[in-house]
Amino acid sequence: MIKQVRRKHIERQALSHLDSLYFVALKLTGHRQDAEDLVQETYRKAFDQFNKLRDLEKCKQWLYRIMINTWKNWAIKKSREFFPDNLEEWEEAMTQYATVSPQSNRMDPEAEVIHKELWEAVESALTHLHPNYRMALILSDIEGFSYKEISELMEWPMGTVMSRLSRARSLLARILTKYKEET
Amino acid sequence: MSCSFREYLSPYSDGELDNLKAEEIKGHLETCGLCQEELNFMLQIRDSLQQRAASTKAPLHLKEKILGETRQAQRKIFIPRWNFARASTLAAAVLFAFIIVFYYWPQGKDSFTDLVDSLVKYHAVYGPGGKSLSLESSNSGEAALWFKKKLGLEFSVPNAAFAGYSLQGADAFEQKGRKFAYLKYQGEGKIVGYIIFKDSAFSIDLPETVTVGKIKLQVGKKEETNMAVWKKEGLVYLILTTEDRSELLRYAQRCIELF
Repeated sequence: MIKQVRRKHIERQALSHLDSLYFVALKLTGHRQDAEDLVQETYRKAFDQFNKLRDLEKCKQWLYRIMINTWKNWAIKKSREFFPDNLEEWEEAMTQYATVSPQSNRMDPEAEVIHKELWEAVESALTHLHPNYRMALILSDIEGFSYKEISELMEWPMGTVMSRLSRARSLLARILTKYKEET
Repeated sequence: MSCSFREYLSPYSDGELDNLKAEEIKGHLETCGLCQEELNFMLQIRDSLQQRAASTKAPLHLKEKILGETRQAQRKIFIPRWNFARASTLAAAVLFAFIIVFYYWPQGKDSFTDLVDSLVKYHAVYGPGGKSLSLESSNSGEAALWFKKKLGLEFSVPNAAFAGYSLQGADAFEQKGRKFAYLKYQGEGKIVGYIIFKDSAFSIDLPETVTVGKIKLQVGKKEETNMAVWKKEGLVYLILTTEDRSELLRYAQRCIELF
């Protein structure tokens, strides 16, 4: 019976993070339905292994952990976006997009941000970032996790956390240059 | 065009620089327009993301789906994996306690609230993709006949089309010695549940009372589910919904007329 009580407790705690998880899932997958599926799968897994959560304080991190791993597996199996493993390649491609004029390339991220509210521009720009950069930014800027916490969660060395965040921000700034110029 | 301090701006904005370095950057920012601008932009982006995150709510049906699934899973996992001897002794003890609690315990005000709690959870089980109903029907007459036959309960079943929800079907269950009729209505992926049962000693502690004609409606919330409860001619009626209260109240009003 004690197990049931504890489970209910964890359930309640876990569900209190539903909105945050959903938002992150939206940013990760870029699709409403995918986000819902991802969140549902995450909670399903979490509740299956609820006894693995030792420290209730870390409930949110535990859920994120599960969600990120789930999403990684999905991305490997079937992904609507293809991200090369090599970050340098990706950055190179991104840089090219950023310098190409709006008319010549449909995929030009810069073109999308003109005449939008900042938040729309940011969200749009975010979709063009490599998932690693996106995750770093979301975990830091939205969830307020420390570098150490992000390092543990994503299993990245501290130096990597710092550099990815830095890169994410400068890439965003570059994409949003046009926006900046107009405001 | 950039400044040599630029690489420190990101960790500075995260408060991840050591005190000495942070002080240095702070000092530098006072004189460097480029860095100031860049830092401000970083903070603007953060602000924007935080605002968006704060205003984004998960869709209601998602929560229902998740709750529904975990309830289902819990029902399955009720077989403890300990050794059999311990399990059966414990089972016997639990059964004994169950008998005492549910059949001999006076059915006072508190137990009614417990009952309502468990009804709310039961309702969650019928969320989209949840447990299937014993009677799948969109015909209110059919549902009414079914209850009369199955439970000996007689009442008219509303055709809920007026509120944008349609009847999906019905189920009957028993708990704490009472028999319940459950009706499920669905519209746009949202669920409204009706639970009807006989009760002579009805009392419940919900924060709001609304009078509709001669009926006193108790309105409140249990675990994110809005509910309206009222009693008429020996039967207790409960509407459960996660939708907003105003819709719930309109719904309840209409149903009081029908019932």
